[in-house]
Amino acid sequence: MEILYLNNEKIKNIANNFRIKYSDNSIPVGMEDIIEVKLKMTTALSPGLKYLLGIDMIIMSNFESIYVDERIYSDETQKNRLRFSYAHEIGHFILHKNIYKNFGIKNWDDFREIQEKKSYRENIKRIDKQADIFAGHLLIPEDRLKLEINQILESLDAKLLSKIKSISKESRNQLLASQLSIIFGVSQWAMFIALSKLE
Amino acid sequence: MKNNNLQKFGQKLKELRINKGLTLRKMCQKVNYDPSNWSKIERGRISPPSNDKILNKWAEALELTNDIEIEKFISDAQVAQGLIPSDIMKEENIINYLPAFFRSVKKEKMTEEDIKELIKLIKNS
Repeated sequence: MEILYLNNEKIKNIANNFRIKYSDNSIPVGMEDIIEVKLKMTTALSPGLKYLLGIDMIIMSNFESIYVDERIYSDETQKNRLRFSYAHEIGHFILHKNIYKNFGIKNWDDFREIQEKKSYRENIKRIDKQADIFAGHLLIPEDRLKLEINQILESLDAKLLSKIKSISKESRNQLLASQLSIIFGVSQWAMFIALSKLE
Repeated sequence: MKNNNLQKFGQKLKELRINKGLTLRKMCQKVNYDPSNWSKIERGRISPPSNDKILNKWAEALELTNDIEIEKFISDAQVAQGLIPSDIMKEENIINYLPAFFRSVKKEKMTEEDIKELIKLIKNS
């Protein structure tokens, strides 16, 4: 089965439209509010999901419930990770709900068997990548990011500003990422990726 | 025998919470209750408490003001006792319990054992 190629621009538009429809302009984006109150999805907490199977979160095949590792859900220090995982799962809901149907998984036996197929695992990798891109755009709106960058740069004195401008783009992004990641409620890594993509 | 009162109360509880714009987390912070168990009650997997004091606190947090409404809420919770969880392996329920997508940092594919573990975890959630 061929997974439709979606470029960055296309996913960005889908994510932006989704945010406009389901959220206000505030950042960090309130993912639990969107998922539970707006989309009326159910959250179930699962102890051991992460520890035993290495899974943070699962969206179920009814696309109405999400199972979250209980420890990550309750751990205040994991809230940015949790936010990104929610956004990733919603990426699947928005982008891949119909694709899932084509896999034809009707029961646990199908679920077991399909995992043996290399083509399935390749498709899942592609799908996961798309969901990550969606999550990045959902949580870090590009316009807002530009605004916040300008605000940071404007707050610097002339000496520091010229120093910042003299370093490489990558080093500059690393410096900016630590401050911006707090504003947007994402990990520094997610922020660094978003900054790297920015023109 | 399936306990319909349990399911009905759970659905009602979720509806009341969502109507007040409360996430599971916010709701549980308000009433100082375990979110895992609250979610189980909403999904009809465990019974709600029958204690009047606790139920009154919940009714208040859900902003039920009318005496009749509060009384109905409490009595509905009290008749929704006795746990008969639905079987997640049953054909009619399967879509609710089969993962659509998941990503494991530990493994690329799930073994037979992993799947058994996963089913157990989902069953207990």
